[in-house]
This record gives sequence, structure tokens and C-alpha cells, in this order.
Amino acid sequence: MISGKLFTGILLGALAILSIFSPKLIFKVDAQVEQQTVNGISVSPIRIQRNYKGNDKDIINFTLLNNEDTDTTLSVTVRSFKLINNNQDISFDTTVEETILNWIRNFKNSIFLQPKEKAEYNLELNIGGDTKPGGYLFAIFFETQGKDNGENNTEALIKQSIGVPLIINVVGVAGISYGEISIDTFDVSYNIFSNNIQSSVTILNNSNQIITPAGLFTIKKLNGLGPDEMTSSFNQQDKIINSFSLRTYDKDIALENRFVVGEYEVTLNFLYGLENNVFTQKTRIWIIPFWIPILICIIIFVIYKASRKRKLKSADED
Amino acid sequence: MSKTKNLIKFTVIVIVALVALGFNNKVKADRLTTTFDQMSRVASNVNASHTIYFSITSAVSSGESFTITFPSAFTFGSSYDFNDVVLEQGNIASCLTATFTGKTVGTTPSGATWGVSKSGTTTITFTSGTDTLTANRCVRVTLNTNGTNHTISNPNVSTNTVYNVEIATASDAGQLALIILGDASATNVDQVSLNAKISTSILMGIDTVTTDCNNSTQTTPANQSVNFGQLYPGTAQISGAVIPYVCIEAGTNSVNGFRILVQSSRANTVGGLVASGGTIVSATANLNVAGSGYGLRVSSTGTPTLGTFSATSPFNSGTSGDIGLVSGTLGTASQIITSTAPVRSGSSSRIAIELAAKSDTSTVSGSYTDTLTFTAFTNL
Repeated sequence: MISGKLFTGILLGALAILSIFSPKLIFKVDAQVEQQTVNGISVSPIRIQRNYKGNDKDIINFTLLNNEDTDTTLSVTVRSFKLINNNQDISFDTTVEETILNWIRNFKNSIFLQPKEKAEYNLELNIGGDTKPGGYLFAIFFETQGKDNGENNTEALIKQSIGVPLIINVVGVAGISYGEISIDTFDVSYNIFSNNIQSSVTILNNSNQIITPAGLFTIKKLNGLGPDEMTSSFNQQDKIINSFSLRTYDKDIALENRFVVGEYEVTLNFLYGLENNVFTQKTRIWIIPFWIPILICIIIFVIYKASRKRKLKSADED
Repeated sequence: MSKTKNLIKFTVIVIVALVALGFNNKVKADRLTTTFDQMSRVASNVNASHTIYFSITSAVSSGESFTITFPSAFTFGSSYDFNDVVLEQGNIASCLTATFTGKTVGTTPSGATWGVSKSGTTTITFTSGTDTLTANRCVRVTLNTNGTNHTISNPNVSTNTVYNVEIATASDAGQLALIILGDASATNVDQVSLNAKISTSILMGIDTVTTDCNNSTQTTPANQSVNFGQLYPGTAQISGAVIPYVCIEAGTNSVNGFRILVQSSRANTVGGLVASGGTIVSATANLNVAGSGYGLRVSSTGTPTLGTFSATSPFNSGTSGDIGLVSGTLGTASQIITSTAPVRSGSSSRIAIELAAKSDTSTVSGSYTDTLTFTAFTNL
């Protein structure tokens, strides 16, 4: 005969054992994947940034994928390019400069891809021992041929091309940096309408290397309300500055908190160059959000009304 | 004597009756069914949220309470309160398939609000105001672990340890068991670190069709020419039902986005359609009005499945035939499309590029040709 207490005990024990073996963590994964036909050519990676010294050898590997249902032959070319108009525009040369041309070995000027084929393409570089130290920009292009319809009419042949920039710094015997960077302009202001801190930093790269500054804005409270310190990244997108060039970086830093008021110190720290040099620049700003002038107006209005009321009252008494 | 016998009989009957009543009046709690807890973490000494499910066989009436009691090895934050708690009731007893409806919780019970209080160090009590929990329904209680002092910490154990959590209503009671994973030689033993490097890539596919690129039709092999046919002076030939559009399918997973540039094969800073006897020079012009010219316009950026494309001036006009100048091989590449973040065009609604050309009476007769190279290039 099993007593009630014993029965309850057995039942709870069984439940406990069941609970132990029941799943404790249930991972629910919701994913909606659109069924999509993929066409065209894929190239990976899309940017190469390397540092070499004279007599270095390297093989840069690219992965190509033909997503089409047909055979494709891609022509491969290498050309120099320049970033102009504050790096907004690109001017491609029709050829590659001679120094870079001399680095390239066993160049294959085409690659054949079967439907859905994935293939590797290798760019072999042999940096000359007498290469002048400094930064070099060039790009490798994988291009289709276009397809003429053969008719004797006015027509535009269409080519598609994927260009991959190569950003190369070459160190010489005497080192790479003969010159340094400086801040040309450092403008920081507060936008009352968007509640943003707007920054515009123009950096002069007066060195012979291509640099990619990366760092942090630190916004520190000196007087007022709000968090003691806020931070925001600088040049998270790895935008480069060519040697002996200027580049302007604009960034809006959104203030999540509407109650940030007062005087703040904005410090920009970033690292740059092969030696990871540190650069620091500071400025001070006042943050006065839109509600401060509204509040002042309300206070003035209330004082005005009160004083008017008092005047009327004293006039009545008189 | 008979009086004594009767007294004994009466006493025995009373004793038997009292004993019987005593057994019958013994409080008998129904068991809770389907009790389980989904924990966000089961590692030792980490914060974890608990989603506790249990089915009640008897109702919780207005003014009644139920409790959830954790072993003392669990630690609740000093400010743990109703803000960290969610109470819901399902529409059926099965916790796996029930649809849950939330109850209002607060500091104290009042009306429809359930009061939530922490008694001792690890008991959470829910007390009804006037609201009830219906019998034979699943109840879901979520005990979240939030910010500082609003957390629930798992016990600090060095070996795998089982703990029981007790749940009790006025009529039902039950337990569920939890296992906390402990390993003296490691932390976060309930997690596996996954590291995968995804290389950046650019995709680009071009086709020419007369459907404004709003379908996934791909000609096989992909057509890559735009035939303007015969150009008559004063009449602009523009992409449409006869002259194809250039449809671009493109994308990148790079956080920097990319741009699409175009250049004419004309060996000049300005592109053009070139014949042996003359050139139709590319221009930024509205060919509905201008005398002659050649160029292109982004008539649609399509419907991207990820991110957004922006058409760049002067290629972003909303008027058909209002085209932008295409640079030649010696000029700065013309930037027609940009994105500043990962982006992917939809295959059924691709980027549509309208091409247009117009000759005038001074244009020398002949076959005019050009090669337009559309290049996808990462932002630098």
C-alpha cells in the first residue's frame, strides 16, 4: 500500500527527473530568406591594403564566382587611379604606373568561368628592391567583354567591371615617414534642431605613406547637466588619406539624451601610420538644447505677466 | 451499566467520527502539471532570465496568491520588483501550444492589477486584486534579469548541480528542477564561441532588356549592348519599349558600401558615340529639348532587398530623356550610384539605367558606337 505522501513524493521526483531532461534552453531562430535569383559576377575581397619593403614577394588571392547560367570570360587589367575632389571622385588611368608594372609577375589577363563556377585568381607581386618608399594606389579590374549584336547601327556596347583597389605602402631603407600629419581644420558645433554634435575634421597627410586614421571622439562634461563622458568612433569606415593629400571627415554625433546641457570638451584621438602614431586635438563647445530658450521665454513671460498684474493691482489701489 | 455502555459507544463513535473528519479535512493540494523553466543562461554564477510555465488544475480566485520560490543559492537583485516580471495566462492547459495574454502587475494588488512582492530572499509572490487565473490553463511567468540590482544570478557551483524551484497556489503545488552547469576550470560553460570571418565581396550583373528592369528576365546569354537603331535628326532615341534599358543587379556586404561608375570608351575627358566621320558628344541635357547629345539617366534604383542606393547628380533626373554627361577614358569616372552601407538589389526590380541619344542635322552620317563600362568599386 502506497501512502499519499509517498505517492506525492514519487510524483514530484518523477517530475523533477523529467524537468532535468527537458530542454532548458530553447533557441528559436526566425529567419526569412527571400528566394532570389543571383546573376552576375562576385569578387572577393573588395579592398587590399598591405605594407611591403623592398624585395618582398606576395601573392594576393581573389575569389571569383560566376552566378550566371552561361560561360563567362573575364578580362583582367591593372590600372592606377587617383582620388580627387576630396576623395569623392575617382580618376582611373588607362595604364598602371611603371613602378607597379615592374612588381607584377606571371600576369594572367583573362580568366574563364563556367556557369556557377567559383575560381581563384592570383596576383603575384615582387616588390623591387629599389622601389621608392611611399604609398601606391592601383586597382585590378575583372571585366566582361560586352556583346555586339552585329548590326550596323548606332549602338553602345555595355561592359560590366568590378574594380578592387590595392593600397600599398612600401618602406624604404630610410623608413617611410618623412613628414607628418596635421589638422587643417577642426570644426565642432552643436545643432540645436537635430540635437547633434557636428564635426568636420580636415587632415593633411604630409607623409609619403597612405594612412587610414582610426580613433575616437570623447565628449567630456566641464559644466552642466548630462553624462560625464560620451564617446563616438572616428573613421569607422577606414577611409584613407593618400600621401601628401588633404581629406575632410564629417560626422554627426547624435545626443540620445535631451537633457545634455552645458560646456563640453570634445577630444579627437586617432592612430595613424605604420608606427601607430597618436594624434590628439581638443576643442570646447556649448550645448544648449531647444528647450532652454523655450524655458527662458516661458520664465520671461511669467515674470512679465506677474509684474503687469502687480502694476495693475497697485494702479487699482491708487 | 447500560448507561456506561452507551457512554462508551458514544465516545467510540465520536472518536471514530473525529478521526475520520480529521483525515477528510486534511488539506489536499492538486499537483501542478507541465512545469518547466526556460533559462536564458544555465552557467554557474551568471545572470539569467527565467520563463516559467505551469498548468493549474484549480483557479486562483480574486484576492488569492501564488508563489515561486527559488533555492537560496540563487540571488535576486536588491531592487528586483514588478518591473522585472511578466505574468501571462494561456488560453489552454497545454503550455507548448497556448496563446498567452498578459496580466497587469504592480507593487500592490488592486483591481485587475496583480501585486508582486519579494519575500525572504528568493520567493516571488503574486497576489490578485480582483483578477483571477482560470483553472486548467497554462500560466507563464517571466522573471527577467535586467540592469543593476534587477538581476537574478545563478548559483556559483563548481560541478553540475540540480536545484528545485517550488510553485504553489492556494490549491495547487509543484516543483521543477533546474540544472546549473559548473566547471571549476572554465566559465560560461553553457556557451560556445563561434568565430567566422566573412570576406567582403561585390556582386555585379548587367543585362539589357526593354521592361524597365522590373522583372527577373535575363536574356541568355546576357545581352550587353543597346542598339539605338537609326538616329533621325531632332528625334531623341530613349530607352523604352524598343530601346533597351541597362539593368544592373549589384550588391556588397561591405560596411562602407560601394559605388557604380561609368565611363565611355571615347579617348577624351568627355565620352561620346563615335563614328569615323564624327562624334555625338555626351552632355548633361534634356534631349526632349536639346539639339543633340548622348548620355544616361538612372530611371530607377529598383527595390533593394538590403540597404538603399542613391542616384547621383546629374544622373538622377525624374524626367525621361534628361540625361547626364558620361566621361571619356581621360576624364574622371562618372559616378551614377552610391551606397554607404551594405546593399543588395532585388533581382526582380533591378537598377534601371536609361540610355538616350539624339543627332542633329550637322551630325555626319555613319555608324556611331561606344563602349560603356560600368564599374563597381568600393568606397575608400
